[in-house]
Amino acid sequence: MADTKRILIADDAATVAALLTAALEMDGYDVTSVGDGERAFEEGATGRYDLVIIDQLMPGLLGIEVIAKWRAAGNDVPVMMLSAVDDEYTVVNSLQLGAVDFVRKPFNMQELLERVRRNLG
Amino acid sequence: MVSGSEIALLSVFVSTIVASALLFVVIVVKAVHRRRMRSFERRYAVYLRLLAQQVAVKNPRRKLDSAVVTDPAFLDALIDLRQTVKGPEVEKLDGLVDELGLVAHQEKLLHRRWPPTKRFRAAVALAEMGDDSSTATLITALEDRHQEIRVQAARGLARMGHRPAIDHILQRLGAETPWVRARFGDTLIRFGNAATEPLVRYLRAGATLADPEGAVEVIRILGAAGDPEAGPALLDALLHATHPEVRLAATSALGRVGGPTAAPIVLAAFDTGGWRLRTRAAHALGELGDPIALPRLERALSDPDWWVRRNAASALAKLPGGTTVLYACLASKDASARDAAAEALAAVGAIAESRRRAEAGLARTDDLRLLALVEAT
Repeated sequence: MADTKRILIADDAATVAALLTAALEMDGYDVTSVGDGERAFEEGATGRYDLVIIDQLMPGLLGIEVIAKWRAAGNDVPVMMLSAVDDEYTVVNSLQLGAVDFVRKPFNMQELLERVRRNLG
Repeated sequence: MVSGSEIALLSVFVSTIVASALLFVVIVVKAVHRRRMRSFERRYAVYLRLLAQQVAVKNPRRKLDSAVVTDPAFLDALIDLRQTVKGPEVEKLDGLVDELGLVAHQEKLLHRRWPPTKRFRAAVALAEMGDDSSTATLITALEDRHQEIRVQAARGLARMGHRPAIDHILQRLGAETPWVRARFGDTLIRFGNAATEPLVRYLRAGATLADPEGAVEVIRILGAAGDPEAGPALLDALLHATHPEVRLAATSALGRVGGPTAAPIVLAAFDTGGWRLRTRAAHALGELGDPIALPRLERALSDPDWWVRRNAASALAKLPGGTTVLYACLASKDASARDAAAEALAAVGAIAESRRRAEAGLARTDDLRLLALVEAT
């Protein structure tokens, strides 16, 4: 029996966290949710997660800063960036830091689930 | 017989009792409010989870009880979720709205005379849900006695793109406070080019004379929308309106709307309205980009008003042949004109270009003048 994949959601918006948690749990994933950049970094650094879905604009550290810190510490957890801001700097920077995907808010839930499945291989 | 000191003591005693009672009331009210907020937050979190499940899952097991429509926490959760998703998920939420009779419930609340907070919340909900069935209610709400509700009504109608509402909103424009007028203006901009014809009609019906404040707002909207079809009406306003604010607004709007006849008319109007009109005309000529404006803008570099000089220089930087004029102005005897020209050239990166050429030993006379001017300041 395949192990259940673990996903970390880092987003300070309660609506996004609730929606993603409900959808991903229904899809059979084990989901943890945090609401700020510092906690996201600490939680992601534990190495427990198969995928992280992270918002760009959060209190504390920005999503892009969290990814940079993980990479600097040798943590290569796959990351999907979620953002209402899709300027070239944010998109290119997050992909250069190793984010595997970039999803703009507001998002289509089914499309996001498909991307999660694809990014988890 | 009661002595003075006894009266004083009694006063102190009564004041202390009253103050204590007031303090007690304040503490109780705050405690009740905190409890209500915590309860609201708990309910909001529960509804969010329920709605998220409804949206995320193909066949949700748990159906929502229609009693939730009376809970403002449910409404907030629904609206917040609706702003988070797009595509089929929004349709699912709209389906839920229909199933639960949410729109009808909010309309009932809005039709009541009291309390204003619930009425306002109902107006916001109807605006956010954008359901076509509520257009009649929202059009009526444009006449509501509370301005916040009128603004929400206009917002909702604009979100739905309900074109018949444009004329209703326009009819109210002149009678409104500046704040509401500006908010109505923002909603009319949302209609895009569909609003051009009604707005132009409004101007041509004499608004510039009868309702100059409304006309200024309408002109601002036409400028923001940028539809070239508005050009002739704006030119008319610039040429024939008597109210100075209308002419100023028309000048600015023409810069965005453009049209082949705009630049000559803006030029003709350049000196007909004081420094404010010259400032806006200079800016508009830069936006229009017609080199016919070069001579007048060059003269404007020596205008007595700083702002006119600045806008004229910025405009020249945008026109074909304009930078040549600016470089030539660096040799002017008028220090203000030289400064304005140097500032505009700096804004387009000319200083860096001049430095590069100087370092490469290829500096032209203009480069040396510019660099000398920069050094001097």
